[in-house]
Amino acid sequence: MMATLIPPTPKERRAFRLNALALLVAVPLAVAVGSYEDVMEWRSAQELNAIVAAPNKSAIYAGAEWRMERVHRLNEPGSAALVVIVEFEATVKDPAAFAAACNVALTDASKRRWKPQLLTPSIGRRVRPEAAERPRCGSASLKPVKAGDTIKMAESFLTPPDIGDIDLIVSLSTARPTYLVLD
Amino acid sequence: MIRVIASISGLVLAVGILYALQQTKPGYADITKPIAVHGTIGDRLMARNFELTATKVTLAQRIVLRTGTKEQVFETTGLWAVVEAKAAARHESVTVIAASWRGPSGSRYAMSQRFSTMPGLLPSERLEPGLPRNVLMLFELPENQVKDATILVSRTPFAPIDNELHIKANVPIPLFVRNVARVTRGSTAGDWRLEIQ
Repeated sequence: MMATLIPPTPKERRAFRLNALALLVAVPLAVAVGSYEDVMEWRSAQELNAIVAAPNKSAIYAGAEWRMERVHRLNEPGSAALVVIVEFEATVKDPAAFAAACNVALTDASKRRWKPQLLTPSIGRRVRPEAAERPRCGSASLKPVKAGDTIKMAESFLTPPDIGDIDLIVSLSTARPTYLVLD
Repeated sequence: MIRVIASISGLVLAVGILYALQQTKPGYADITKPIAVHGTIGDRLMARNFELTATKVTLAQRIVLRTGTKEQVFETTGLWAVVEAKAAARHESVTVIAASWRGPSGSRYAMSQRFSTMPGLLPSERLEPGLPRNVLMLFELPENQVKDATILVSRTPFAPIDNELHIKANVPIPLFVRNVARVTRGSTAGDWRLEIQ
């Protein structure tokens, strides 16, 4: 009310407009600075950009050269599920980047994702005992690795029998948000 | 004079609006509470990351776990409610660990934790997309909490802004209590079947 009684001077008007404009810059800047670390932390947990290894081709990812070896599709008698065992390998170039927490998932054209089983299902241990003895992706990096080592790994999944063409998705915490797709 | 009256009435209006906003503001717990999906026995209910159909509710005086020829008996001073269901993940493998029985008084009974080695229990089964699986939920209840109950199922015990299934249990009155619900372990790992006597 008082402000309407005493008209502002042109100088005051200019200062007011300048401050109002500065707010437009200062508020978004404060939000960006305040949330920067959270955004970066969120980003490092996401799988955003893919490196795709075509069939029978290798790809460089997270300090190693990755390659799909074999995919086994096994029917457990008396069970509606399909046991999928994926064998893959990585030749390490940078041990520091390779020794990291590893996420693995199987996916098909429907974009559904199957996470690996903790234990290889019994049919897998009978039919592919070599695969059952291989380390899983997360446990492969527990042992010390050096440059030039080739680590052979395997993961097993339980899927519906009608699953189509499958891709293996691998992501390491050192390389996320980039992830690897083994076709 | 008119200007002064306009200013005062504007102020009163602003205070009124702010007071109304303050009084109707939902609490943090309300904003983040689970989003209910309602249904009844036999309905296929969709949560954000899993689907579940409760197929049958059976009341029993005792539950027996049979492994080979060995039997383990679980007695209760109340009643056992055995809920059979079919569940699957939707987009990504998931484990659904929270289910409770909400009785007519509003009390919630979490799933019994007396069965450490029972096969087929909902929280111990990893659900896969496209692979529906038979699961069991076992509740130990006082007799007066059985009728007009709702079974609540969610992925985690605290499911902020996630779905919670609300399944009407509709247990017929008078209560039909069976003698034994027997879970028999199968020959392969994780295999089981349920018999009611």
